[in-house]
Amino acid sequence: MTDPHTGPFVFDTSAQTYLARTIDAPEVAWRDAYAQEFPLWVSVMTVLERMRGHLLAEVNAEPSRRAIVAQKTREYWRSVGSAGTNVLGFTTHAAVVSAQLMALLPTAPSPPQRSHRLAESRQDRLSRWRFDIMIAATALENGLPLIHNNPQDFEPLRGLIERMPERFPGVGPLNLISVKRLAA
Amino acid sequence: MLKTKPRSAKRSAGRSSRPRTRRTTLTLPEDLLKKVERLAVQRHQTVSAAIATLIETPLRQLEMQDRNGHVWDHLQKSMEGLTEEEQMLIDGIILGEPGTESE
Repeated sequence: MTDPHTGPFVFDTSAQTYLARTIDAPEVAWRDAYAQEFPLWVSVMTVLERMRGHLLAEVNAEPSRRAIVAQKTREYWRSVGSAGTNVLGFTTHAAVVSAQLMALLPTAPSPPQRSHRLAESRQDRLSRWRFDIMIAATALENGLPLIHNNPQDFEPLRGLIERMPERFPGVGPLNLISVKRLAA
Repeated sequence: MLKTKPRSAKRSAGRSSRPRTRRTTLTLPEDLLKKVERLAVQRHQTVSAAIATLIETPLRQLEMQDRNGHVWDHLQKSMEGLTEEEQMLIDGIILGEPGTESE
């Protein structure tokens, strides 16, 4: 169990999804307790990832569904624009940290995703990996723990920073918290 | 029941960092008031200061929850009714037909 009052935390894209959709009573209670003290802190890269996803979903939607999907985009945009969201920018320092991480871990640790009939291309997997790195660098630069939902990708970043601190002066360690363990 | 009377303008001139106050009359359950009075004595505060201290944090939490809770509501609504593939898209995962990628 992570005390929600010890925030703020940065929420990775998929961790944000997990916590927004959960119906598990202890997780909902954790989310409410967190909201009593802190806004939702996210990287601007999460906003980019999500907006790109919403807009692609609109483009790909059947004409009969397009208005509904567009409504979802507006709803997301409302959440970003609200005072309850704190978007962390991507700075020069975060860019340098990200560059180090990308140079040392150029390929994604976990394989591309797939659904029952579609698959993620290697290019898109690499692009997603780089977003994860930039989100981790944003959390690092701000000295905030990162709430995530994919340990296979974030743990190697944490391990690398721990093994090679000389490559990351002034930042670290990367403090990771699994979204599934917040209320456990 | 609440009767209010603004504090004199002289005190709100901005010289002090103390928050501006306003006189009012509160009607509280007797046992609750006794507890607050005991607490005020223990803390060497006035009853007004003790009540202000006690309600400040819960009020701030309510305001924050009201403001921040809407974010999670908007997020939930932004995901409701999406297909599995659309949900993956907004999580940053772009799927396509397998074997169509160029090297």
